[in-house]
Amino acid sequence: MNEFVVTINKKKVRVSIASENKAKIDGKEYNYSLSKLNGNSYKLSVNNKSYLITAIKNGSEEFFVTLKGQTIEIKILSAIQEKAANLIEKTKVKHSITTIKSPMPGMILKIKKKVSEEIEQGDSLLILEAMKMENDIRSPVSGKIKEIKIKEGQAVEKGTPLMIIE
Amino acid sequence: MIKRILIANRGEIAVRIIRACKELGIISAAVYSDADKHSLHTLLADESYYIGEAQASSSYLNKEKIIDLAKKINADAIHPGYGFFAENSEFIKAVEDAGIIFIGPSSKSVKMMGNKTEARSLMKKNSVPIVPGTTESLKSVKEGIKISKEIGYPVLLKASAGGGGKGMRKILSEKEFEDSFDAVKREALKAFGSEDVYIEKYIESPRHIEVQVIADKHGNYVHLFERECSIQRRHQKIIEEAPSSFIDSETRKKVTATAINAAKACNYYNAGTVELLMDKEKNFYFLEMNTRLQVEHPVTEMITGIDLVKEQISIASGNKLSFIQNELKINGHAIESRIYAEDPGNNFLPSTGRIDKYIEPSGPGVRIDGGFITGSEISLYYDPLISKVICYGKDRNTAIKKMQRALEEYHIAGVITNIYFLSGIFKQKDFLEGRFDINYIEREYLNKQEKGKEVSDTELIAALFSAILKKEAISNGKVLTSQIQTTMNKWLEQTDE
Repeated sequence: MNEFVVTINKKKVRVSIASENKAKIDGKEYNYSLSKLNGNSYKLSVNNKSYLITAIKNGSEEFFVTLKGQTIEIKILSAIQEKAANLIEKTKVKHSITTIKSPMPGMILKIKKKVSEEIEQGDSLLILEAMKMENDIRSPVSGKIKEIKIKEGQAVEKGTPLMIIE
Repeated sequence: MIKRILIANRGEIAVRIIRACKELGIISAAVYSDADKHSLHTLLADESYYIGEAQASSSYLNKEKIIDLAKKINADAIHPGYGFFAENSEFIKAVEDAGIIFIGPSSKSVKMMGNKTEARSLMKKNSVPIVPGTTESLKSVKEGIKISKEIGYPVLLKASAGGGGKGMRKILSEKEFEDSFDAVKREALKAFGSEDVYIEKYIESPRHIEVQVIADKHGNYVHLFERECSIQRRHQKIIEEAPSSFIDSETRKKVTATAINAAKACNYYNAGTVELLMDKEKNFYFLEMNTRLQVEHPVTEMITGIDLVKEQISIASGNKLSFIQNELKINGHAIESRIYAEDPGNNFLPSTGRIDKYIEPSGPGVRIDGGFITGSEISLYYDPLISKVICYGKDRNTAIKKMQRALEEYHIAGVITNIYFLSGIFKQKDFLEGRFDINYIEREYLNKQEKGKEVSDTELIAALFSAILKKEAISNGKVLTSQIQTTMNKWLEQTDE
């Protein structure tokens, strides 16, 4: 129950919490103590070195963790959940769909691709205007445009789905 | 005698001006929009006034509102900071006409330097070297292509009214010309209200050197040496230092004399900056004159001991400069890093949201000019600059060491920042040894960023931390087995897609 699989910048780390202040990460042992400062901020001491950490929850499995000048997106599953997810992955037909979401609020200035157009990773999909700048939104994957969910001139919020690529 | 100053700005620069006012015994009046209710300047000012919605045109860029407010509260003077109205000659004229002192140059000087093409031809007349290209706006794509051919690709297409890296594009060949022409025109119209564009020869691997000048209304002109601002991303400065490690005393004499010439050419008074591009052979060209206080002014303050904002206020009151050229010398070395709410891992896109936690560095030789606190909002309406850290030491190496440790002391959560990205630059051998130009980040540093197949120490700590939180949540009964079951069912549903 106390074993977790943490996904961090596309890497997986196995953490097991043995007792109140002992943990194993990928098999290596660490002593720790965690205390809450206030709000979402904590002090974590690991093997006599201390860190100031602020965590923002994004659902029960995802966190944004800020420490040492970095904000890291983390996905965490218990070992059981991970196992289930792996089983599902194996039975899944190879068929991946990527939804391009707006990284910030703004206005769609120009859409550069059409539905069913083939695209390469890094291709410019659209221009999003925000903070008086024209921001080039590029595709993180290669594939085919399945659907365009917005129109030119439309205002979008952060996280608004823009295009679907398969 | 100025008794009350209305500060027509926000963020760290509003805070900087409030601090100067307080030390001078002048009443500071801040303005704020809906988005800035919890910004630091509203708390530190003697008086703060709400001026409207977050959209800049309803608040910080609303000429009538700001001038009416200044009259209503009996402000003798308006300080524009940088950005917004700082270089808007129409606004300055309106302030002058209202009988209010504008803390900056005259509307005439601003106008002379505001239009890039007119400024270029003015400089040419006054024997200030300019980058080869046009001194008039382009009339058509055809004309642009013809001129580009003459001066040779690559060329830069720039907005005549531009600045701050906006409205500017490098064109490598004729076939890119038309697309870029349209894009720069669009950006220029949006950002500066004018779609005039012009062409400059693209100088290979130049450094950005600029000279701080200051002048009073009695015709006294002084320079405060140079700053180097070559470390840029998306054509915007992120690290600035004074003095430049690239410049010898002979070159320093030349660039400072040029800067004084440029300032005299537009009958300048108040603080201003003459920006230059310098190639490998130390040839330099006039880029533009910024007729205002600059973001990076603190590095000059640190090495000269002059408080530029106080001096601006004194000049605006009609006083002579409080010092002469011969009294100034370069003491030590100062470096500034700009802390932005942006994601270096995602093309430096701005990151918006509430600051959940804000802790800034301090200690010997570290100065912070910041504008926000825990609970402040970084909104999409304005520049995402959160804070500036300025480190000062007896030489460049000492200042760098201080910067390395100061950046580690920041803790800003709730928005993504460029702190880690900046820290990385201060570890690069090329940077440490002074080998860089304005394309350094795009050409060298971005490629050197570790792709990171190995788990870093920071990632390891983050992983451990989240596992502990998750475990505590489970033991507190927040995630029950049944909920895990639900999650699993959800996955099963997804596979049917």
